[in-house]
Amino acid sequence: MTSTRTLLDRTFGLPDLPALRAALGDCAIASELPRQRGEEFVLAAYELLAHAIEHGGGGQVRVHRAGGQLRCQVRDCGPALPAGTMNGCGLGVARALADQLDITRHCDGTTTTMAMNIPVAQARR
Amino acid sequence: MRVDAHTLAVEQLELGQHAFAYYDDDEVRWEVAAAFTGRGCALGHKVIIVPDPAVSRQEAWQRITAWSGVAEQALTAGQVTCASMREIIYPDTRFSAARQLVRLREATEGARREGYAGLRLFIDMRWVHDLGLGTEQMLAWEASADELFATAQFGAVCSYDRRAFEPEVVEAMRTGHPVALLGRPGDLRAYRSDEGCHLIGDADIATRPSFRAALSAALDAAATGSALIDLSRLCFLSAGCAADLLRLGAASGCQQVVVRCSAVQARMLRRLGVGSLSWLVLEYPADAR
Repeated sequence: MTSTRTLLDRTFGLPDLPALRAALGDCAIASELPRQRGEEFVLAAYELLAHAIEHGGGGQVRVHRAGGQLRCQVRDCGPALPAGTMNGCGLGVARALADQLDITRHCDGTTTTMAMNIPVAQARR
Repeated sequence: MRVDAHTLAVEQLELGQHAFAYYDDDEVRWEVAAAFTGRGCALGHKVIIVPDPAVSRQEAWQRITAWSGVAEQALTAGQVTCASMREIIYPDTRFSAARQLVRLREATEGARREGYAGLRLFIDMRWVHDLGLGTEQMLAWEASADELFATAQFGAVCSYDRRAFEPEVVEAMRTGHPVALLGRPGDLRAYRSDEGCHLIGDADIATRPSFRAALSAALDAAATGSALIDLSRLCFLSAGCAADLLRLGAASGCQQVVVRCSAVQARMLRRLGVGSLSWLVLEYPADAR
């Protein structure tokens, strides 16, 4: 059975971005992502946060480690965007950097989940 | 405050570095401390915080843990501790720079024995008033501390309340430390040198107007010649700001724009199409190509 460890769980808005980026970086380091991959995790996660701020004014972010991955889930409460419209420059970069990116639309917002694989030697710890 | 060649964002601070920080606001005062602590905990460093003697430890804990989930776990595990300067110099009651160096060396060795990679120390310099130290003694202590940083097992931030020290003392401290930190995490500052435009801090949705303004000024100054845009001290560059750089560079009259950056920034700029731009040159660490 895969264990899940929550590293961060917060609501956020624009003023929270610097603290959140620092906390995301701390999560990447604590999960032993290689340094450059950790920086890419912060960048990809930030683009999800920025998208949520632009479209919903903010939301909720949860970072957890599960199944050999570090995952960042961002839920916003903005108007649900039609399929195919979530392709901005930032989300394009997030999609290119992530090992996995899923977008789920709800009647009251959108949940975006981004995951990066933790190298096997680190994931076993 | 002024930014120059020795200014860094707190997130980029490493063991072996001795940094100056400042604040003039009771909210902002915790931000550098919290970011420094959170990053230290994530990297497996022991962290000692010496807050303003007038602030309760409970408040210090709350402010630090509000920033980083990692720091919250580290507090309960004893990785982060809070101390007063009176406790650090105990059983002495008078401050002595030489004795202080011995104590901090012992604390670093103790942290290493406990299995930590090193010791981070954050000091709110208001303690000098609590112990009745004069400015000259404080300057002497700061100058004598260099040897502690030589082994890269100890790193420290000395934080000055601009409301409690004379402006010339604060400026002497800023220039006297090997590293001077930005006022708060998330800030973006820029300065120009003979070489080009240097950006420090975070380029994101909040600082995007400042980022654009700094770039525009640098590109305008270069006219039809070559411009250097140094991003290497940015601790964050968003995709939107990176796209702005490409747009503004293309619209400028510059014959060449050299972008000095990190490997991660270079990869993002390539994804945005830098490879097809003949006027743009990426300059980044050779081992990351």
